Amino acid sequence: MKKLMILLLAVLLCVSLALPAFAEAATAAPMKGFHWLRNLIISLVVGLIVALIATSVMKGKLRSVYKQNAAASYVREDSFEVQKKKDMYLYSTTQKTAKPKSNDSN
Amino acid sequence: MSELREYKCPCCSGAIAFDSSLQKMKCPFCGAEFEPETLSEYDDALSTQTPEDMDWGDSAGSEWEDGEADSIKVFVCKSCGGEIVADENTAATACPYCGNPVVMTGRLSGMLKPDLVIPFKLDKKAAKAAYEKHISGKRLLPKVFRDQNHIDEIKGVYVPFWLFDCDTYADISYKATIEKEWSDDDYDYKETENYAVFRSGTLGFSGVPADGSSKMPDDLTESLEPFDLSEAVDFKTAYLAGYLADKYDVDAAASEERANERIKTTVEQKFRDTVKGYDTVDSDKVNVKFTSRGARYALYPVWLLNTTWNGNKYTFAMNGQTGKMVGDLPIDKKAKNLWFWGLTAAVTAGFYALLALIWFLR
Repeated sequence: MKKLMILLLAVLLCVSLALPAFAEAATAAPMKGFHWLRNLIISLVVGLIVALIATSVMKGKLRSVYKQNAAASYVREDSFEVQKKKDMYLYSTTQKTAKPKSNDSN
Repeated sequence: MSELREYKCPCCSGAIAFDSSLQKMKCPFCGAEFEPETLSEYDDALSTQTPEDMDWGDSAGSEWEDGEADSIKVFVCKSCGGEIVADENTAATACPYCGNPVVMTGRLSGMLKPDLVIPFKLDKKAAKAAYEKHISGKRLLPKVFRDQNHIDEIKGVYVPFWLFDCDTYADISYKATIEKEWSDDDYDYKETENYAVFRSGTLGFSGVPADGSSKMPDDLTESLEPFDLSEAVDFKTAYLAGYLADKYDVDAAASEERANERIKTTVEQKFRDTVKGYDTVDSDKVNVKFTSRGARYALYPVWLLNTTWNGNKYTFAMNGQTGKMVGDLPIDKKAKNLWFWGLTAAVTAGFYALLALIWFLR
């Protein structure tokens, strides 16, 4: 099954690499100007990114053990009461940044 | 004659002095300016903050009554040293932690009687079904985890927990800021207003758990939470029938620190939620004091399955009351590589074909 999958993918890759040539041959319209190397590199980068994201998601699904840092589930109902509240203004600081001036050379 | 007091700058903690030209207090180190009344009020507020006291005092559990512990057998695993207990009618043959054989050592000693127990609500069939659901769809999992004979080894174990109940009084100070930005033709301005914020009040907790078994990793047992204490009953030996129970080897005193950490975090979060209207809020001093406290010793139901793969042990646990299943699963590297390169090839091919098609059709 795995070997079949690998074979299928290899065929798909070869076909798509040869696609510009097929198109040219089939329609007699030249694929001139199609930067095959640049487009191949772009496609490879996209492929790597997608594969990385997909395998990271699969990896993430394997993790389910986490430390509980809080005890919010154990708070007793109606036990929370704010008895003292004080907000005091202390001081202010001001930062001044000069705006860049564009010099007209003309 | 007014009291002579030396004030510290709230911004940089330097010794602050009165500037007669400004008629304000000015810090010679950072230049911050304050009204004298502000400083004296701030100083008063800080010095009257309640000191912290998170000491639990006496521990939980009680002594067994005469004859009560006679029907309990103790087993020891020669391989990992684990001690488990079972009632006289339950045969324990394998250690739930490492799978090796256990031997009976005799009568119960050195173990307190639990205060509470949450009886098992889900049976072995439910546990196996939950495990199979947990591993389904996990494409990178090695095959051994799916082997039916192995899954059948899942065991029901009562895990010892210390439960902490308390009423707290918290006294917290924060530093907060409000920022304003504006510009004119020549400059960009950013003004930061600094505030000292104080909150104090009460918050109560019931049943904060910390596991009393060194063989159960803390993060694993914490992931199984929450357990519903409303379904807990007073402990009776009869509840052990058919299940194994772990003898605690971490006492209440050792678990207190973990419980305190969690309680303090929640107290800080709850009070911080009441500080509104600022752009930034940072805790300065968080003092928590217990106004009442108590600890209890409880047994909580857990289904356990240990799988060994590649020389490592993987523990899966299911909450025997709620059915929540946790356990970190390993990655089959070969499968991962196949997926990674396979996907790369497929997406590269597809994207390249798309680019060619777009170019051709334009």
